[in-house]
Amino acid sequence: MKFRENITRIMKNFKKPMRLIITPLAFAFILALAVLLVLNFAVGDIIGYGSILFMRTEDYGQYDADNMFEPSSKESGTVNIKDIKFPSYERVYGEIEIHSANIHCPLIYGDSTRALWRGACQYIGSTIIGYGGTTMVAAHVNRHFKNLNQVEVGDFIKVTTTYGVYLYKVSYTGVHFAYDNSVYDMNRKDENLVLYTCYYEQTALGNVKKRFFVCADYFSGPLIDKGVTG
Amino acid sequence: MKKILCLVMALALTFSLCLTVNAATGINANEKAVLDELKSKEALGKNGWSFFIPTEYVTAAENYFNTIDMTDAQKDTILGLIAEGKKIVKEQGDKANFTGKVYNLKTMEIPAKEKVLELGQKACKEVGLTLTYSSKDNKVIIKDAKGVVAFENTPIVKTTGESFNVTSAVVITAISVVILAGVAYLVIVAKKKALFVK
Repeated sequence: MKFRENITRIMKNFKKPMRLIITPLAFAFILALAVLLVLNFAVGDIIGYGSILFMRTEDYGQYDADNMFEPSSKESGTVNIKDIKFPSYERVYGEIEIHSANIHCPLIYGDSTRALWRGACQYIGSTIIGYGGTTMVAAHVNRHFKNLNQVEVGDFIKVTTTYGVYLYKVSYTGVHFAYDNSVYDMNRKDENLVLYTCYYEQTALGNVKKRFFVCADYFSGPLIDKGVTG
Repeated sequence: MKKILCLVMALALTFSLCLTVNAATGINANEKAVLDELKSKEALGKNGWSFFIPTEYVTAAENYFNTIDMTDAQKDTILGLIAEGKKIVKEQGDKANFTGKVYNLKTMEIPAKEKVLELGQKACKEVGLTLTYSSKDNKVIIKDAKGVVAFENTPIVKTTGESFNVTSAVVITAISVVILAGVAYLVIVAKKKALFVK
């Protein structure tokens, strides 16, 4: 009898924290999960735009002042390295156009977090456009490379820089893990372009481990005469 | 008049600082010699092992060299520092009696790593760069005199999408709890008020 009374008392005491803490917590957790899963891309956009809003305003002004891009119209021949202005970190030096995927965005030298919110960004350990080598370019999947997965083999990628207009023909597209370096070859000496963006395949929770890669071979444009001496 | 002069000076200074593109200088013979040394994969250790600098790091160096003109004296100093660094690596690999093909610099002893880092800082200083290393996140950043990044040891492939980790989930949950608690409080207060009215 006493045992039953104790149990009833415990249950009564338990109801209060259950009602005030555990139920709201569980409900909130389920709600948060639902928000993350349903509004995956939307939330990503909000966070992205939010990060831009919270950027220091002087950075903004400096950025805009530095990025008055003057496109070249030179489509063939060669261009001497000494006749070009070598791009500087986080600065726009071209633009990328892919008509088949409705992509048209700035090309920035350097792929910092800040630069990635502004356009397609080149890894500084890769060669600049036209230099002869592999150019690695990344952009966010919910921004400039939203439609990158629409690019197909045979499509053309147009890259206009401050020193020339280049065309690349897509030779491969595919999904790979981010660490899979079999997709690109940093040792290549011939002009080639690799574009990539994150690839979502499962849930909103956890790191995005895969990337959608587009590999393209040089088709036309003024290759840079490096003028290496010695 | 002073104010106008100050304004003009400030504007001139701002525009001079905004000049961020560098006229490319190409790769001269001195820079080529340094790049060749950086690319070298010669056998170094007693067991025939070698070590090499990743291509992307050499490319980053080449990109920077395209914006400067390295002198003979700078080349000699840098090549001397590279030789000194290689000597330390050789000593480390041989001391560990490494028998593989490619020696991993990560396995070096900390004092030796620090010495190599110091040599790297000296080499960078020679061409107007500053190398900083953060042991917290193992990050190396090299900047020029204007503070512009010339190199950073970030992965080749970056994160280009939103990745929600545990921290994000916890933060969103916490915000949801606060909002829910607020709504619940308001409902309870409203109900109590309604009871008293009756």
